[in-house]
Amino acid sequence: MKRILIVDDEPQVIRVLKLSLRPRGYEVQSVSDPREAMDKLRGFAPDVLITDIQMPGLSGRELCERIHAEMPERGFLIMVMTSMSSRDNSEWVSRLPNAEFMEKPLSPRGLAARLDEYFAPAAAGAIGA
Amino acid sequence: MKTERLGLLLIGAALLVTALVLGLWFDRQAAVQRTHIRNQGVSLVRVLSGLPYDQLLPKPGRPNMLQTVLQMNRDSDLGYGVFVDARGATLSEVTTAGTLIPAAPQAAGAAAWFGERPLKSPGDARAIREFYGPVLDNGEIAGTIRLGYFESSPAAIALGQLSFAAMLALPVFLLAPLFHFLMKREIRPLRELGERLQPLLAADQVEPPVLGDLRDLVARFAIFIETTHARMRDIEAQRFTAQTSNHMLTYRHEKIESVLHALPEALMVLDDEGVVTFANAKLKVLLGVESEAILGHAARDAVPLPEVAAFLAGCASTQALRGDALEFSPAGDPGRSVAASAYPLFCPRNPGSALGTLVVLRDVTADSLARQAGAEFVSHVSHELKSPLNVLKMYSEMLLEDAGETRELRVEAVNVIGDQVGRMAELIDNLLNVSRIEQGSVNLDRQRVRLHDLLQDAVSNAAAGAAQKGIEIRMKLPQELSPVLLDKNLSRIAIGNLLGNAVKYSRPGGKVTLSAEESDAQVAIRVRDSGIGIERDELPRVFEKFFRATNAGTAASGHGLGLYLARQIAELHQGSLSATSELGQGSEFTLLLRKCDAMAQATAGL
Repeated sequence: MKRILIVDDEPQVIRVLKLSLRPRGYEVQSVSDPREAMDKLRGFAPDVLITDIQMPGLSGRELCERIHAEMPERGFLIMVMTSMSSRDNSEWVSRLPNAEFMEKPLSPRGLAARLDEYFAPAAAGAIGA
Repeated sequence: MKTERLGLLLIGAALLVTALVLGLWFDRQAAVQRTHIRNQGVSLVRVLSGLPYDQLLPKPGRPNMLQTVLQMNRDSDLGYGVFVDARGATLSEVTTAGTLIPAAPQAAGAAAWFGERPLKSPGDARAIREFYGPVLDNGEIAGTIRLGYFESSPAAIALGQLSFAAMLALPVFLLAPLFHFLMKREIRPLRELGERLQPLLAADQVEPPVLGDLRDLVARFAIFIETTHARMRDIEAQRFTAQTSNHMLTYRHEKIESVLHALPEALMVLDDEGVVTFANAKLKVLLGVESEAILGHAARDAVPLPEVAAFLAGCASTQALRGDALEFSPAGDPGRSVAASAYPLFCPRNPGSALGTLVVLRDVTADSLARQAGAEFVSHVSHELKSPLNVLKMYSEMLLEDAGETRELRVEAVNVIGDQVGRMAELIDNLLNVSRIEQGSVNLDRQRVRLHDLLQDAVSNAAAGAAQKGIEIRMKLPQELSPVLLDKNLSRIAIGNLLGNAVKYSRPGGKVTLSAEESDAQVAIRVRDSGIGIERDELPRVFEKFFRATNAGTAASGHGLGLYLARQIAELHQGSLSATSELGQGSEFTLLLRKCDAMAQATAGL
């Protein structure tokens, strides 16, 4: 089962994403305090990290930089969602390897489709193996 | 030419003086001789006339009296002596050599007494003055004695005095050229002075009169003195004017300089080689360089910041592009922004000629902070609006999906959607209120408000949200509370925000207490919660716009405007809002408001 970690300070967002992704066969866990995210990443070892940018305590960008520094060989995808569709954000996200940018308001259906697409070749490969 | 004429004049004058002196001298000589002859002749005639008749007659063996007289007077001009009888016959006569006795009529009667008469010598027509007198014999006129003296003519006297005249004339003639030479020598400097005066007078276009040498000089000198006088007056007037305008210039210069020093901007003027020719005192503040220390130095060497030095060097070399600008932070003050702009300076009367470069340094910290604040504000607001939108979109999509099939989820979705819409409305209300307060367009509509009613309303409004989280709101109010003058709507917002926060940041099942107490001048309204609390170092910042405590996000969704707005409202009412907190234990916010009486006194006191 593919594991997904959500980091967001909005409990409703976490709630909806869990409601939306769990029925599709993903194991979803969440952190509402971004400062706990690093520990959770190591413990949970997700396949995809979904994070907000504007969060109190630690911003999404700082979290990504910390991940990049501490886990240079990470294998998971980072999906960054933000309400700020400024060029600044899309730029630093695009410079990160294996990372994507998602603009708010977010469509749970669109996110699920993107995740399905992301995991599809690997799944095919797994079946093939 | 004039000098020669002067010489001739001198010689002529000398001659004239000599001739005059000689003429007078000769005339005097002639008069003296005439007197001498008369004295001699008269006295001699009287002597002879007094002699007895017989003695005058020549007799052998006896010296002739006339002869004796003539010999005695040999050196005088006596020419002859004759003794005639009454009929005119010559009785005796003596003459000097070569002298002829002129014939003369015999005087008779009274005329025969003593007398004198002019006669002419018959030979050479020389003038003779003859003196005569009677000779008595026995009381009768027996004869006449005649003595003739030669009178010298003026010419003869002159001739006789020729050597003397020559002696007199010679030194005069010798002295005349000497005088002339000396005068010439003495006059030369005067003439030179005259010649020198000529161009001076010509410069003033004064035509001196052409007169004689000395008069010319004197006239020129007089004109020169007059011109010099006039020029001195002019110079004095000019000096006064210059002094006055110098004072004016100094005054204007100082005025302009004081204006330049008073400007909030720092100014530097560079010449075309980049040397600082003016700097005002503000330079110290914005660039960290004393204006005295930089004056006269090349700007690029005197400025410590390399980027600014390079900019100033560029200004000088490229003749300063208009409005060329640089933004930097002064050394040791990274929080500050200073903008340097360069402008070329041109001479106002001759726009083609460059005077250097004006460099203006402006403190743009406030501008850049305002810009930053503006950008942050937009960023915050868009985030605060997009977050509930995000949730709305996700829940609405979920309702359409399979998950919306269960009733439980539908209820949840509808509740969340309602909450988020309320949150957005609250944000927009707060934003509008903040904007109105910040722009100063809020007119307080003060009314006498009963605090019991106001607080009860606020609790009622917060009750629904509190009930959802199982939070109890308690009111601890005294029986009586003095009325206060408040803007009802604004104070409702402030108290509502405080209660809302207390509920928002309390854990489910927590307690919120609203209390009020009254002192002499004011009423204190307190909202206490048993919530998550605020970290000590963040407590002073909770009233800042858009500030959110680090631990706030995990518990509730705020947008950082509620407390800011509440404090603004408190201050609009001349009140205050403060907070105390303990992390993990809860917070207490105290709103202090003036009572009506105190308010009236304060107003009356104004």
